[in-house]
Amino acid sequence: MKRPLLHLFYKEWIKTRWAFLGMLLLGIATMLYIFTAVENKITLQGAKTILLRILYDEPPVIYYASFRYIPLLTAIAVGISQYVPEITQKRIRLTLHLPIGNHTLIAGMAGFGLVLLTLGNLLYTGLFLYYNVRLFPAEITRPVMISLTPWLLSSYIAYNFIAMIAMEPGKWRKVAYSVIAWYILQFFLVGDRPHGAFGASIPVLVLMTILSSGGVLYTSQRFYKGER
Amino acid sequence: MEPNYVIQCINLTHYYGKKLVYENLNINVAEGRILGLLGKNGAGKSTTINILNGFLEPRSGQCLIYGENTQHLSPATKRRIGYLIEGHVQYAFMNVHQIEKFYSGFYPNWKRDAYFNLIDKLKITPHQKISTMSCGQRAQVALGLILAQDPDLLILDDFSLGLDPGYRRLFIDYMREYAKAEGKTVFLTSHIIQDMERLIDDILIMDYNRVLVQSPVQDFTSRFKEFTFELDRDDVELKEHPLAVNVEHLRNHYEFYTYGNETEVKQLLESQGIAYRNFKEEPMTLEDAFIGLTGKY
Amino acid sequence: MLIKIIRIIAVLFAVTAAASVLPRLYDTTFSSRGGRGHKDIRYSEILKDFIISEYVYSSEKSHTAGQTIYYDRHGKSYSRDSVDQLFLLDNVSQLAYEGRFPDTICGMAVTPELVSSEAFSQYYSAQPGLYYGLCELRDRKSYTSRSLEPRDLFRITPEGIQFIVCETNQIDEEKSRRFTTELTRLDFRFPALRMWTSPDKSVSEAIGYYVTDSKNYLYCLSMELSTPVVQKLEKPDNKNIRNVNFGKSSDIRALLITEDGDTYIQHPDLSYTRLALPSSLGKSGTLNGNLFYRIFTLPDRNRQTTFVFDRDFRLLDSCSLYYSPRPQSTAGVFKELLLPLRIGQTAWNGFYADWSPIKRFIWFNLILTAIALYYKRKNGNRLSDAFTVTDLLLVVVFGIYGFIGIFAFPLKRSQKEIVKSKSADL
Repeated sequence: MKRPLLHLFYKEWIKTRWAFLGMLLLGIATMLYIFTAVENKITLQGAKTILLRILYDEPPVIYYASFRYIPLLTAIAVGISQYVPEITQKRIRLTLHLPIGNHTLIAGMAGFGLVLLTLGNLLYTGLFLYYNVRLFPAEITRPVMISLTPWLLSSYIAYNFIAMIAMEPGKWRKVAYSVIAWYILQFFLVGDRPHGAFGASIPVLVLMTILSSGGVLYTSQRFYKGER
Repeated sequence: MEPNYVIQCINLTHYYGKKLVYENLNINVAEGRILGLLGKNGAGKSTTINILNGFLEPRSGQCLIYGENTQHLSPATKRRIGYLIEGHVQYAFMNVHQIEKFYSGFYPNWKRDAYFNLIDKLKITPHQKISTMSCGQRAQVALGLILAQDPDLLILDDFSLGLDPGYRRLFIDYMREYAKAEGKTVFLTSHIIQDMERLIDDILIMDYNRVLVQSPVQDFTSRFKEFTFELDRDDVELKEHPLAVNVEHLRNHYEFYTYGNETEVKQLLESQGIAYRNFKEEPMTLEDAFIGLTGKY
Repeated sequence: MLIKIIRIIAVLFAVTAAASVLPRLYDTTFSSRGGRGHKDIRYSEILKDFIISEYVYSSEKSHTAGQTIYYDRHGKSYSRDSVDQLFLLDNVSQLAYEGRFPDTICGMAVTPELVSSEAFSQYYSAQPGLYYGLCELRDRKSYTSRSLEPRDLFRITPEGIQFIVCETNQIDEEKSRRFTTELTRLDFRFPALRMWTSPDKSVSEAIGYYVTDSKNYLYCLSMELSTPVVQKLEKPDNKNIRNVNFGKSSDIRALLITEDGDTYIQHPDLSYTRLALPSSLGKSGTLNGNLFYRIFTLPDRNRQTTFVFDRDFRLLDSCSLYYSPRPQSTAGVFKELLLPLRIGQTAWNGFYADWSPIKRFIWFNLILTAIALYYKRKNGNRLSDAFTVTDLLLVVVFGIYGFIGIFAFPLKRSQKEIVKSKSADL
C-alpha cells in the first residue's frame, strides 16, 4: 500500500508543484513586505511609538493585514491545480480505476493537499515568528499569533470545500456548496479587530476544520454511484 | 464445458429518470474473447461501459468481473483490468516518462520495455507533455501503458475516436496480436465498424431498450443477409412480415434484410402476388449489416 | 455508514452558513424592529428632582417628524423655555452668552468660569479593557528633560519586572533589577495580574500604574527621576479589584469596581467611600459631575437608573427610566416564525446562537418536517433508517436551515435498495 500511495503523491506533486511554489513565493514576499514596512516605520517614528500604536491604537494597527488572504489563496491554488485536471474530461475515472480502494484514493489525494498546506502554513508561521520575535516582545507576538490562527485555518476549510465541490457531479450543487463555503469562510477571515481577538472562537474553528475534511468522500461517492 | 466468463452482466436494467435505457440485459464475455459493443448513439453503450467500470449503479441487476460486483471491485481485480477512456484521455499534465513512473508503482508486473518500445517510436521531445501531443500520439501512449500493465481484461471505450487511419490500423494490429498471443479478454466499443471487423471475435449490437444481436461475428455475418430487388410499385409494405428484420426502399428499389434465405424471401413475395425483378443477394460488410439491422436514421 | 455521518456533518455546515447569513439578509431586506422615541433623564439642581425628556414621533408609521416633551416623575409637564431655567449648571455657555446667567445658584455665589471648571463627564466600566501586559512607565519629571523620556516598555512577569528597550527588543537588566528589588521589598508577589493607568498622559505620569500582584494585593507603581516609586495601597474593604477607572475631577483619584460588583471612590488621600450603587458587574456607566453633584447613570436590561450623590458621595436621590420593549413590526414577527436561530461570533466571546421563542418557530418547523417526510418517503427512505430520522430531527430543530441542508446534501438510497424495498412491500 505504501508504494502505490507514494506514486499517487508523485502525481499530485506534479500537478500542484508550480502553483504551490508560486504561492509560497508570494507568501514569503508578503511576509518580507510586512516586516520591511514595519522596520521602515520604526526607523521613521521610533520603535516605542510603533509598539504603542500597535498595542493601543483605536482602530487597531494590524500591521500583518496583508497576510490575511495568503493561506486562503494558497489553498485555492493547490486545490484548483490538484482537482481541475481531474475533473476536466473526467480524468478522475483514471484515478478511480487504479488498483487501490476508492476511499483510500480520494483520501490520499486530499491528504496530500492538506500536507502541502500544512507545510506552507508552517513556513509562513516560522517566517512570521522569526521576524516578529526579533522586533517585538511576546506581549505582541502572542496575541498576533492568535489573530493569525483563523487565517491559517481558513486554508484547510477552503481546500476541503474545493475538493468536495470538484468531486460533486451536479453543477447546481457545486454552486450551492460554493455559497456554503463562502459563508463558512467568513468565520475564519476575520480581521480589523485588536490583536488576540477571536481567540475564543479558535476551538470551534479547529473543530469545523477537522469536520470539513470528510466532505470529499461524500461527493466522490455520489460521483461513482453516478448520482446527478 | 461451460466457458469461463470474465464479464457477466445479469438482468441489467437501467433508467435515467423515467427514461428506460435497457431492461434485463444479459452479456457474457468468455475468457480470451474479443467482444465489440455496437449501437447507435443513445443506445446505452456508454451506460454499459460506466456500469462495467463501477461509475454507475444500475437500477437493478448486476455486473460481475472475475466474479466480483463492479460496484465493489477489489484492488487485486482492478489490477487485472486495463481501461482506455474514450478519446485516449490521460493525465495530460505529465510527460511520457512521468506517466510511466506514475503507473509503474501500482502494477507489480509492470513491463517497462513494452511501454518504451512503443514510445521510442514517437517523434516527441523527452519532456513533452501529453497535452501537447496529437490524438494519435496520445493513443500510442495509452496503448503503451496498457501493454506495460499487461492486464488480463481490457476495456476500450471508443478506441478509434480521433485517430487517423494509420494510427487506427496500428492500434488494431497491436491489440489483436497482443490479445490473441497472451489470451487476453477484450471488451470494446467503437463507431468505426470496419476497425471492429478486423479486431473482434464476438459482437453485441444494441438498439434502444434491447439487444439485437449477441453472437460470434462469423455467425452473425453468415446468417444475416441483404437481398435487393425491384418492384413495379413503391408502396409495398413488407416490414411487418416476421421474415423481415428491416426493409428500406428508394422508389421501387427495395433492400430486404433478413435471417432467412433467398428461397424464403422469394416465397414471401410470390405469396403476396408481388412481381419482382433483379433479385439478388448483396455481400455485406459488418457495417452494412449493422446499418441494415438497426436502420438508417 | 461513514459517508452518511459525513453527510450529516455537511448538513450541519449548511445549517451554520444559513443561520449566519439568512437573518442578516432578512434584516437588510425587511426592517424587523419598530422605531421608538428617545428618552433621557436629568437632575435639576433647582427643583431638586428629575426631569425626563422624551422625543415623540408625530406619526407611528412615519418616523420623520416629532418633538421633545418634558415632564417630571409626577407627570407634570414643562415647556422648553421653562426647562432651560431648571438646568443652570448644564446651560452655562448659553445663559452666559445671553447674559441670563445668575449670580447665585441654590444660595451659592457662582460665576460661569467656576461652574464650567467644576463640570466633567466620564465613562467607567466594571469590565477591564484590552490588556496586553506591556505598558509605558513615564517619569513624573519627564517634562523637565528629554533624557527622562522612557525608551522602554515594561511588563511584570513571574521573574520580576522587565523593561524592554524598544529599539533592540532586549531587556534593560539594570533598570529591571532596581525596580524588581523595590517591588520585592514591599512584598510584591510576581507576576502582576493586571495593571491600570489613566488615559490622560499627565495623570498617568503623576500617578503611574495601579497593579495587582498574584495575591491580589494592590500597588501603585511610578517613577521619578528614573527611581522606582512603589506604594502598597489598601484595598477597599479588603476586596479584590476587578477594574480601575481613573477620575477626571480633583476629588476622585480613581473609581474602583471590586470583584463583587461594588463601586468605590478612591479619594486623593487614598481613602475610600463605597457608593450606594447596585452591582456594576457586566456594566458600563457614566459619571457626570458639576458644582453640586456627582451623578451616576447605570444601564440595565430594560431600564436606565440615575443616582445623584452630593460632593461627599452621599446618595441624595435616584430614578429609573424604563424602556418599553420595542414594538415588533410584522416583519419581526415573521422573522421569528421563519428563522429559528441566528449564529454569529463576537471578537472576545466566541460563537453564539440566538434562538427565537420556540412557540413562534416550532409550527413552521413541523410543517417543513412534514414536507421533508413526504419527499423522503417518495424517494424510498424508510423511518426505520436512523439517518432518515436524523434528517427529520434536523428539520424539526433547525427549521428552514435544516430543510435546505438535507436537500442540498442528498442521500438517495441506492437504486437496488429502492427496488428491494418495493418488492418487499409487494
